[in-house]
Amino acid sequence: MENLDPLAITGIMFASMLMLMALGAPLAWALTICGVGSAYAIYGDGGLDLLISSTFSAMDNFLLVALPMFIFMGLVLQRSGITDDLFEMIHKLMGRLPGGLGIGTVVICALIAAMAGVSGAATVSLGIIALPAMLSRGYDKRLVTGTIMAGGALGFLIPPSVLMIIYAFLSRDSVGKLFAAGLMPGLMLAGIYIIYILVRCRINPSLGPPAEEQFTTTEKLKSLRFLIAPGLLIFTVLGCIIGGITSPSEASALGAFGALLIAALQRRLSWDTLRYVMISTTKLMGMLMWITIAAVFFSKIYVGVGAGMVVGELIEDFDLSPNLVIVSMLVAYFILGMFLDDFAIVFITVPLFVPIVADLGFDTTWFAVLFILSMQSAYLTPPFGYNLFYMRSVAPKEVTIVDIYWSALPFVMLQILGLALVFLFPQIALWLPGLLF
Amino acid sequence: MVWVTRYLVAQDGLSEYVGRAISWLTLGMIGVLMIEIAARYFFNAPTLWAHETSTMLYGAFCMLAGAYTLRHRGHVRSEVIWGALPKRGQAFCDVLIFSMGAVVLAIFLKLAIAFAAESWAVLEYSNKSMWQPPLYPIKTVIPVAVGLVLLQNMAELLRAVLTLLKVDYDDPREREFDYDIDPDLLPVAPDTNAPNKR
Repeated sequence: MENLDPLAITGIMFASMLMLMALGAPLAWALTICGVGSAYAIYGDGGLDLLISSTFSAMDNFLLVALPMFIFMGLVLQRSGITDDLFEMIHKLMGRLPGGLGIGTVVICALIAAMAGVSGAATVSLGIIALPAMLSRGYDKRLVTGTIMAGGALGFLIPPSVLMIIYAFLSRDSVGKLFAAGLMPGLMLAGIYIIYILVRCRINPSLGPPAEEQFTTTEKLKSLRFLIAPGLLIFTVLGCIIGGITSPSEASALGAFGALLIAALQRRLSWDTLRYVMISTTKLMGMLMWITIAAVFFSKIYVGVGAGMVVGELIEDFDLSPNLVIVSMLVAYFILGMFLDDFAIVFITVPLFVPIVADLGFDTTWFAVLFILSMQSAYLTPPFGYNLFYMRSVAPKEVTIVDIYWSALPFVMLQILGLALVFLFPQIALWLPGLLF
Repeated sequence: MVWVTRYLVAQDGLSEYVGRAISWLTLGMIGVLMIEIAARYFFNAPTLWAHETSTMLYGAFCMLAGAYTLRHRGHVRSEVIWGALPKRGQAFCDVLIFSMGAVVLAIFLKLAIAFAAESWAVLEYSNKSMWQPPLYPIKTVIPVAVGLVLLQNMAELLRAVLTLLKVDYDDPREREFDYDIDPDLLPVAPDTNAPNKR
């Protein structure tokens, strides 16, 4: 089989993997089955040793210890009632503004995103707490569902982010640098959402009527106390990572411990909560670990036969401009995102795309931010969008699935606008890491 | 078909037990890293062992979690086509997937046993730090974890074969409520008696 063209081998590998995935194979199974098949066909028995070496390299990695820790932290916070407190705060502070609760929801999403590494956390808890509260005050249901889903997707861009850790593991970038790069675009996107809500509520005030209740200044100031605990936690964890005081893994353990402490101090830490958090972390990590192994193995094979070089040569042959290459990669991400899970996409494409991006002379940190931005849209685009599923499972009955799909559309447009801004002005992402590293 | 049910109860029970037992390792990882931070910043005496210990806890935890995830159908799959198929169509796909999976996992198991045996033969130790812990325990985790996933894979295969052949059997898992979202947060408590729709 040695005479086979690398392009043909890679093509066969990807085609058979996608076929298995279409049949409904769990991603880890699809990757391992195709990987073992092609490794044996190309290298014989020796090729299978790659499977074991991939396994051990995925287990023996201090950086990845941060994954279960950040997942654990997010799950504890989801249970600790922080969302209820924060919503009460924005209700008192901004309720009287037209669309004020919607704006406040974006702020809460950004705060939760800075505490949890996954995207579901904010969507689920705000879908339960903020959605019914805003609907009962006469807010437009499509505007608020879209706000909550788009705000929830900020979880991947604003550090800490589980997706960024996996990206850094695959591309060998520094986690601290990626986290720093995600912060400004994340805040920018939150700003874009806020402006959008303000403008729409200014044009048509019935979309987000101001609340009737009045609160005294003392009450308003007092409600600010709910910011103390999350503020401290965010400051400590991000400060430790971005400031380089501890490794990301140590900071993640600190965050998990801090979240437990906050929940305990608020008397919201029960035995059931702890067990639920532990077992959910187990289930999620079992999934992530087996995909990691399978994907590292799979990518070692196609990188080994020279797929990256072939794609690179193709780009040269067709004389594509570097910017066009990046754009086509992002379009590929957008389309893949409709059908595949974001973890699947990061594992399959990063080993192939990132060396090409580096060869073209682009900053890989900047590309990482573009990638995460396009994955946010993947969370909001049917048929396979996680936040759409989460929203459907927690939304009240009057919000139909059609509402949910339509509500996502304007926010996907805004995300594409954000993506375009970071593409045209890389400084948005690179300014902060340039300052720190 | 009593034996089928008994087998499924036993196999699901094994994966469940292992998953619940190893879930404690999450607290272990937090503890070890907190000790390291405290030792370094408050006592100015960084430990030699914390980083490698937490990495080993992480490796063992995540590997062993695979069977639990499979038992709870938590391995992500694309349901765009699969989800639209009738029940027997899904079973047909599952038979294909899990029988290929059984072959691949068996190869994986064989390699993993050889890998661990090699480490035991030379009583290999780590040379990443001055601490130099033995490596054969963590390498032994790999064949154990792969074996557990293979066992659960066989249970999934049996379920799919029986469904495809239209054999009527009692699947204890169908009566469970599996949730992706914290049930305590839901506005309405999930109906635990309802059949699983996934």
